[in-house]
Amino acid sequence: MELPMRERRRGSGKKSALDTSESSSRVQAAANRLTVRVGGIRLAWRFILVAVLVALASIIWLSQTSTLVSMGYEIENMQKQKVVLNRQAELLQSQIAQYENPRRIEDEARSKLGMVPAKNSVYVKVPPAQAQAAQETQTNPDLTGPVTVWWRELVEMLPRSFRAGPNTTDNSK
Amino acid sequence: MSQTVDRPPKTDKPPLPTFLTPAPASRRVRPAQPRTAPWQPTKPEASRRPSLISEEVEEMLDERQAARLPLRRAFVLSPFLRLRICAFVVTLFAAAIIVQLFTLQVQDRYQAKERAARDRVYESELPASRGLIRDANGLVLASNIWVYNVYAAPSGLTASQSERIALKLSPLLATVPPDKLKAAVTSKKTKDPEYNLVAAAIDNDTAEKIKAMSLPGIVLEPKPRRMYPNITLMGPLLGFTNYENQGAYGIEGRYNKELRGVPGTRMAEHDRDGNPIVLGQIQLKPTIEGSDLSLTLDSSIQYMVEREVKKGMELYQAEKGMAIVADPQTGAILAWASFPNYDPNEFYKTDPALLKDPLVSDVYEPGSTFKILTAAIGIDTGTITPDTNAGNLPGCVIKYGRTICNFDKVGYPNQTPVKTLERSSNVGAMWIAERYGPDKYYDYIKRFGIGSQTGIDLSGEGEGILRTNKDKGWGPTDFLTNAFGQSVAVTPLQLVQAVSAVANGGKLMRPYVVSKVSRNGQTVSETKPTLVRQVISPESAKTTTNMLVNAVRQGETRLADVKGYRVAGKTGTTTLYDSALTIGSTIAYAPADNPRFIVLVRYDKTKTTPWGSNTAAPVVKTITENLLAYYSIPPTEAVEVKPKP
Repeated sequence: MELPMRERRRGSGKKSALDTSESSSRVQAAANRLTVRVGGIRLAWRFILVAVLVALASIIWLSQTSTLVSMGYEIENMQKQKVVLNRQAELLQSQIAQYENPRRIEDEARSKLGMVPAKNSVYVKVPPAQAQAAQETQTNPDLTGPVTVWWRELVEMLPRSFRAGPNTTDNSK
Repeated sequence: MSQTVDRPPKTDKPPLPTFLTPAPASRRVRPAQPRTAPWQPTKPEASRRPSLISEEVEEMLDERQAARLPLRRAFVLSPFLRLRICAFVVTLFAAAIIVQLFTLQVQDRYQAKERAARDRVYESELPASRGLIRDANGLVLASNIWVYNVYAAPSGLTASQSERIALKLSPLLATVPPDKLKAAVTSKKTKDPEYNLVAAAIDNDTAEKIKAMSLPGIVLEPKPRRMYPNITLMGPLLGFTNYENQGAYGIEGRYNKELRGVPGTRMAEHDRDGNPIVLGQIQLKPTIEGSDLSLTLDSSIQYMVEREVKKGMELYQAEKGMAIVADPQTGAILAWASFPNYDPNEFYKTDPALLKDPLVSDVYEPGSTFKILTAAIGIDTGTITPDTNAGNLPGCVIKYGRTICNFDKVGYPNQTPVKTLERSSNVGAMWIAERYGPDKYYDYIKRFGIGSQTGIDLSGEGEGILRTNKDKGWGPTDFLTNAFGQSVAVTPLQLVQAVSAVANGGKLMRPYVVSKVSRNGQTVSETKPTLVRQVISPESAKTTTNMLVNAVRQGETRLADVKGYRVAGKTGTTTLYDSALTIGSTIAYAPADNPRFIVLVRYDKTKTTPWGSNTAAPVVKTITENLLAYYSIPPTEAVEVKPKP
């Protein structure tokens, strides 16, 4: 049934009341529609919000996962590098041990430095006070001091850090 | 007008005249088009496309089509049928896929799962590096290096590629014969994947060069290998590791469990390149690295001792030479040398007879060095004093039907225990032993550790041979000959342990070679000097030491004397049963009153002179002098220095 929605007739109370009720029902319907619409919009917004949150969470999760995986590979690579470096360190350690071989040192001392085994050890009786003083001076011997050729050669064989005495500063770079 | 039908005439029956068979209006057909083949199905008017060719040509084509039609007609399928066939084929295909899926997912699910897991999830071993062995000063005696095995996988290589690879590898692998090299890198076209060993245990530099060439089909497999940088120094003591990197003989064998560590494992999901996936399942069992060992031995002393023993061995043309230097106060071994020795780096080239360490495994009759114990027992039991007069003892005596003589068969008047040690008198030693008898003697001898293992931390230790008066087959002559070191067999280490007890005030100390076990700089265990038992009193030990100092200064051991120091010692010579040759030895310790070290030197089957006093004693003297200088021990007595002319 079609109701006259737009036209209003004047001078009729019944009709006016009817109009009012019709009008209120229309308003109600409009309000209902508006509520539905607003509810729909809210729902849509909520859905969008949830979707955005899910997307953000996914991006964060993916980003973290990706970072984790790439770091995992980095760790693996570093572990491989560590293994290689450990092997090199072991090799260097073995080379140092070879250089420290007493036979090699004796050969070097004899052939390069012309050293010979000490035949006669002479022990001198020193008063205790003097012995204490001598011990203190010998704690940090100045390796740069001696001037004999064989001693200089021996000092030159030592690494740079060992050559300088305790009171000298090596400024060379 | 003619009627159009959907089927051809059965015979050459003429079409019925239309007036005879009038068709109903609903079925009446449109006016017939001129056709040459009236049975051909007619296309609906609407679906017909306007022809671009002339009617004559169409007719001609229709005629041709009509001529072929009987043959084609048999294969003409209706669209519905064709659709059905297609659907059937697709269904069949889908069914096959479903069956296959069922087989994989349900029927063979366990096998498939297992196969997938095997390819993707597997356990890989995380090797533990073997611990280092260091001397008392931290010098590395055994370290690790990596060598590489070169393998060729030639299955995918062409003949020219193989040749090129062989040419490139040839100068780097000079030890591999060219024909063998070429054969290894050439495919034999077998079904199984080929992995041919091209070269084993190549060094790191060569491996790096091969890696840099990036040769196809060439794979390098790293293998850990033990290295002994001092070559033969302490070789028999250190032992070696075999091809599986497991310790064998010496310290490597005895401490294999500590040195090898425990390899870890990693059960993980792997990617295509074999890298573990971080997010996958990982079960990690961490690696326990091998422990480092610190020895009591000093490389400097060891080198000096080896040098002197070897020199003496050449000088006296001895078949074997050996020496032990130990700290008598603690039992710590300072040097341990035996010749002939071997290079543990090349253990595979060594005579297997040399692998056993004679200092701890082989036994020998100690001879007159055993008189130290006989005298010490006499002093400790109180049955003799250094100056107890034994009267005139002859050069030879007959005991239980057996003639026993001094080495020079010379007797001495008013013989005392001091003179007995000085002259190394066998008759005098028997006289001392007879004073306290076999019960006390064997009780003491056992307390000195003779006839039992010393407990040193080395494998393969012998117990020696000692037959006491409580053992079957023992006779009184055994007791008498035992007094001067015959009919009894000891290891060199046992003698050092027993005489150390005399040197240090009567304490029998357990000898040891490993002072500390550590891992990653943290001490795992430390060996402390262990007192086994007090054998004789300190006073008896001191008295015996004084007698031994006298023996060195005025007796047969005088070639071991070092001027300015009080050195206590005794020589010994024993004739071998199977040969006229001898075993000569000397044992001495210094400084006698507070000994810092004890030295035993022994030469077997010397050719220049049979006596230990002439062979071992001078070497003991040299070693003692060097040790006194090394430890900066000043002399205790004035030394007369002859002025230079």
